[in-house]
Amino acid sequence: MGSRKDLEERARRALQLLLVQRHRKPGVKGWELRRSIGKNYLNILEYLNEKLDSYGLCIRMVYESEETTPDQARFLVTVKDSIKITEAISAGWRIDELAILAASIAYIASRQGSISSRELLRLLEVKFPSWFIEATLRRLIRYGYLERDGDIVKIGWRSKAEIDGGKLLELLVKMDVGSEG
Amino acid sequence: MEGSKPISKHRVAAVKREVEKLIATCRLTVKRGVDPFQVDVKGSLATLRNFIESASSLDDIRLDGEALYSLSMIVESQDRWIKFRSSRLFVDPIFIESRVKAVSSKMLARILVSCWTPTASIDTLTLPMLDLAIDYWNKLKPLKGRWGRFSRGSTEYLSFSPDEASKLGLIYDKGFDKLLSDIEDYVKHLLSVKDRVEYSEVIGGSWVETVSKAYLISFLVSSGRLGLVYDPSTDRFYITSHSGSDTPKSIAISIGIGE
Repeated sequence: MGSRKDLEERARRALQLLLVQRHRKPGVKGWELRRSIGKNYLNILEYLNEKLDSYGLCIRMVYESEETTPDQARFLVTVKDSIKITEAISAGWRIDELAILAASIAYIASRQGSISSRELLRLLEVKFPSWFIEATLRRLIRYGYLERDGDIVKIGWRSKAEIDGGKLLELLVKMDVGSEG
Repeated sequence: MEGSKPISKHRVAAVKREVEKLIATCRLTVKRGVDPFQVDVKGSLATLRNFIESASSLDDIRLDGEALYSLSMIVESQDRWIKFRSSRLFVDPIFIESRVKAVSSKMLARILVSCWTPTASIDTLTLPMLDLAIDYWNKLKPLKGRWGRFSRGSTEYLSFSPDEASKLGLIYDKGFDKLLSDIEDYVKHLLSVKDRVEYSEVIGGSWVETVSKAYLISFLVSSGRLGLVYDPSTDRFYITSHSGSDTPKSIAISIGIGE
């Protein structure tokens, strides 16, 4: 790899690639990193991850569909710890949209990762009007939080990268409904 | 024997339909992630055994293979189902459904953000992009200069008499139906000698004639009064007496100037 200076330079370039959104999707593919910073890009990302840790950020690798190699995976920088609800709202999310995302992910996860859109609508319609559900689901699909394959709705690549599904289910199960508020 | 043959055929067709239904059910079960144990694998294998015994064509064997593959996917799905149900992550979907219904939207949102680590990204202008934008702005001609390609004179209105317009080739001096019938008669005369006539042979002539004939032929072909086929062996289009296809298709045939 060469000198420490070279390592720093490559890490800096990798961080730029990871952070600057060039397409609609955030992050960068493994093969793009390989092309830009060389074949040992995984080592450089590891080094960068250590550096980012002190700033409360981390690098995540996520497979968008059936890929199996890091070259095909998407790499992105996420915050390391969960955020506050006020921060989510100031980032442009509505409480109702977050609730729809939470309900969808929990329900889909409990059904092994995919359900028919009719079933999901049936669940969400208990709380929200259908026009709002459809608009929100379209937005969530566009951002990659959910995925639609014909009539089937699945958990999207972005949810896999950003949301801890196991913890979400656990919190939902353990929550004391009576004490809410 | 003659009496039993139609019954046997009927039975084979029924089993075949059953196999096709089985394939569809297996695919849907795997895709929707519903309980794979709802598919009766043992019973389905017995059906397949009956089917393969009466299989008479290569297509039947292919269908049998496809059904076996679908069943193997179900078995794999059953394996995953058991592993998932015995894992720490498994929570009964009905329980989750009841929880989602009982909890308020605000609480659901709170639960989500407590296990959400959003992506950090920069979606903003960079200095090189700003440089490019400034360069583009400086080189961009004023709107008036870009849109003023046509002189003012070209937008003046002119008037023609029908005779003048006909001489300029802007309108047909004969009735359109008459022109259509003339060319149809001409093509049918050619088709009385051979099965098909080459398209370029029919529309040939001066540039104006070629375009006019191509225009008329397109009407005849669209209305089904003539047919048009493409022969890949000669890479040419041929006009036939009737359309061979029930599905209408739109095709573009280029005509070069001077052809």
